[in-house]
Amino acid sequence: MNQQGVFPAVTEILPDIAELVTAAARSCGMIDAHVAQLELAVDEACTNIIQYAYAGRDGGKIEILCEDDREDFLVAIRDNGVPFDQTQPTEPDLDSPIEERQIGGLGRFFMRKCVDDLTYLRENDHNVLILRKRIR
Amino acid sequence: MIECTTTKESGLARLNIKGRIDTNTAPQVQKELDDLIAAGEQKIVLNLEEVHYVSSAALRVFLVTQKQLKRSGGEVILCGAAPSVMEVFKLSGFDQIFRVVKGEEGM
Repeated sequence: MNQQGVFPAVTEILPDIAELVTAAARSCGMIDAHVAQLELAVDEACTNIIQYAYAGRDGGKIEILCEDDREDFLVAIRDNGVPFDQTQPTEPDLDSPIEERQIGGLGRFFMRKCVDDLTYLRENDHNVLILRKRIR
Repeated sequence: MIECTTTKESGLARLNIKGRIDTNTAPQVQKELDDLIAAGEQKIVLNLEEVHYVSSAALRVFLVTQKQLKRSGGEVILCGAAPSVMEVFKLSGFDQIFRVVKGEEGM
């Protein structure tokens, strides 16, 4: 079953994207703990698109397509902002004491931790990010 | 959408948050915390019982505030986090740099 939606690239719509993706994931039987992880990964990805791929440019769109192939659930996120590969790792510092703890890099770290696979394509002037998560 | 209320009990300021803390709503939480600090609060309990979701934007706000308060001997205490929210704290190592309590008993 496929579910899709097109959203304006503004932070106000993040809950709407979360609702689409989590409802689609639940409807194919994904367990709650995995749904919560998927929600976090998708939210971080869309936030990065708004903040970096579009960098405040007005009128941008985010397209979401959800599909499942029985074992895995896939979310494809498409935008036509500047080329932006979110699969490149960041190295947030997770162990240092509070005084030295750095603030950046957590979003992409969460994305990598919360899904089983991340793929990036640049296709016809669009960024396409595909998140794959096991249903069970 | 997010709702914040502040209360004060036994010398502890308490920020009660309801809703989802993401990039859109994190600035509102930051403002509430800044206001409490400006009012002289040093120990702030974040009541997360009615928060069902946090992203890295929420963690950024918590960390900035914790750094600021620690410099003057204060502290942010995270209270009542749901399992899904707790999971995000563990993933980021935040359970090591914050006092995380289930309810009132840890304070």
